[in-house]
Amino acid sequence: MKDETGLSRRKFLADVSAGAAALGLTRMGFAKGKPTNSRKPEPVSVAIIGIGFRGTHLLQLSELIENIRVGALCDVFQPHLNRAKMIAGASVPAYSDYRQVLDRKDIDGVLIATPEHLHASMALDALDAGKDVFCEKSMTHTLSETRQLISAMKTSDRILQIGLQWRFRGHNQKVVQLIKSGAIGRPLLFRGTMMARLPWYIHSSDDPKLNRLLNWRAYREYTAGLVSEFGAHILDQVNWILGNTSPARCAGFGGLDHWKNGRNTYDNISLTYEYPNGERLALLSSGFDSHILVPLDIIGTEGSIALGGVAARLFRGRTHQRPAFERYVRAVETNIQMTTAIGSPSYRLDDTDSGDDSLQIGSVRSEGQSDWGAFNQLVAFADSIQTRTKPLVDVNVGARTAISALMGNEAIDHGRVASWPEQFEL
Amino acid sequence: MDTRPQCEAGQVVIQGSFTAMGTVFETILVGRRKGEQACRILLKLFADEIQRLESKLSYFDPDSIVTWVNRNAAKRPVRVDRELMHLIEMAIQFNELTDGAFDITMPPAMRRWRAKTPLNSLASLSSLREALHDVGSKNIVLDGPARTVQFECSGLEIDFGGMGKGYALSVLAELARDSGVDAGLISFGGSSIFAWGGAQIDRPGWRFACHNSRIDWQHPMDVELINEGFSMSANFEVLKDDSAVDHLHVFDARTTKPVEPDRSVVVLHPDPLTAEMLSTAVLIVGQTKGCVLLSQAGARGFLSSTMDGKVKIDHIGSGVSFDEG
Repeated sequence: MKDETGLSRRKFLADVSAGAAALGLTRMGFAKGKPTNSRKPEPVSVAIIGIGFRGTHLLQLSELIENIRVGALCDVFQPHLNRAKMIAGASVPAYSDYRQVLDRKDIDGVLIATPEHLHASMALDALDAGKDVFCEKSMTHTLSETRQLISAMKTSDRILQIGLQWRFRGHNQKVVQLIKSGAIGRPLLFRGTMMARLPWYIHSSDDPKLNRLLNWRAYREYTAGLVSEFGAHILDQVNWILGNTSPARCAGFGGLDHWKNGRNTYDNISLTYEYPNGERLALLSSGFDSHILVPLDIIGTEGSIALGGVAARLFRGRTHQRPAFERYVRAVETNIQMTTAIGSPSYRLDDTDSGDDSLQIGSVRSEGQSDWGAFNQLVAFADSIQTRTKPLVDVNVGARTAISALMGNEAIDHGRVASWPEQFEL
Repeated sequence: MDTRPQCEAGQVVIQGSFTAMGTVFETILVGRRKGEQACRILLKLFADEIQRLESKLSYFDPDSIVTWVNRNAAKRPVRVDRELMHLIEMAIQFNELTDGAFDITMPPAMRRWRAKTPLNSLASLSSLREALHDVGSKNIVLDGPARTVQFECSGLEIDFGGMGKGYALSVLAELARDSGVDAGLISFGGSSIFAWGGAQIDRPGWRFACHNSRIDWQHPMDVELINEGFSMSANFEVLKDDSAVDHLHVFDARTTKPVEPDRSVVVLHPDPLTAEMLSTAVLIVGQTKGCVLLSQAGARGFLSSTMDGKVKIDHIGSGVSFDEG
């Protein structure tokens, strides 16, 4: 039996080995970051479609994973291919048309890391061609594409995994488990922040069309912008914490306030998402500063969690009646004479730096490197291909995040409250 | 705030808790004659009064009156209200009474020093001496008729700390006496408590236990409050577990040496403010001088010391026995 994370039967994170198991690493062994495989199953053969910044990252990670073999590279920009071949080896075939890749019978799966607007069509074509698909987030660029992919996966026996790697990080998983166990009571308020001054626009070609495509993160016809490139992780984490649910409404503002170089994706957004049971997420993102903030603060009725990039901190017990006092009240109410220890030196509500009532949820670093989400997700993808098991981050998870992101831009674009699309149940 | 009425044996019990003054305020109110309504009104009065005092006395609130004083009193005389004037006068008097052991100018200076100095770095005590050189209540100048406060040196600040909680308890105790609520217990974080009436109809007071030793968590001391205040001070940090922090965090500002060994002090006095100031002072001055102070004030209490893994308890003050274990 599996829970919505697909992880039950592998109760995880109590220790390192359990963590590795939960992440689908049970079939793998690791040494010095390089996997070794005692059973040595046949590696899966993958093609990487789109080898820009993200695709190159996936390629480099794939090179570390023993049961993945990169069998093809594909990009419309020759310098990308040249760079990729330096990493993967000159013998790896390179293509400029992804359909040629799909025609290759020896390719088991594809890793799609193209601009967002191509994700759906390429994924659909790959599924049609009988390939298993790992598709970067955001899964889709429009609502109709989302419907198409969901519909396709209802009848497909192929695997479609979406690149939301936070789900493959040990401390993120532990946070979800902690919240489920009631560690912070009911999570009611979330604050997600992702700021980065990334090179999303570099004048790269005098060909306006090519220049635009190479800088696709700067243009709305290719991507939803901050809300999907950054916000998707936060949205997915909140959706996950709330039991794989979806936001009901979104309102907010955004603008292109700093970058005046012809781009049209927002560089400064402030959104509020409201979930069906009243939980709210304040999502803030900018593209003009890289000041690192805690990506996600989770505020519950009995505690809070600051979820960072490599670790999380749990704070609780400071805003509520102490358990000893609670017992003392019960004794008075029931006229029982008992002496509970309610006296103590200075029970302080200190700042978080004191740490004396906070719990550092440290990284679950191990030989399984279970905090390395981007790596783990590829290991899991290969594992799914080999075992024909449903991926942890499937089409529904991807759809939920993609639509959540689209709602954010709809709210900003039209200055109205955007609602979850009617009759769109996942 | 959480409140819940509970009726048992002809009485109503209301409880409340909320964060205040850097800790958790907790209360149990027992209504026997006037019942629930009186308890609820009193709880509301408590909440209002605590908020009022916090906004006045907090060192950490940038908008508090104490912050206003701290920002300006080194530049010019700052006019304050009668209540704050009275509190500062009391603090200065108690500073003199304790030969400087109790000093509302020390916590801010210590805090600044500690922010720059690792807790386990005792090698830099000379820097502590330097940090404390220009502080001390002797540098506070009060003008009674004009009702002004002035600091004689820049860098001086006041922080009422536990005294603020003790004062709040004394104000709440007055409200309680006038409320008609038969019995109740009010607590700031377990270290500053006042109780009146009896927890049970057939009891004269409120009996509870307190953790008096960092190493012996299993055998708290029992005390019973009979219309009086309780204050506990210790040189070991809280308490949620025994590994909290380096316990050498309390320094005697007069000698700039850490207070040793592990020590906790409990003081009981009808006035919770007096209990609070005494416990703070006795923690620093120790048993001999502490006995004198408590006797002078008509207070009782005990001092618990931990040395070589053993807990030693000395009753001090006007001698009422306590049960151990």
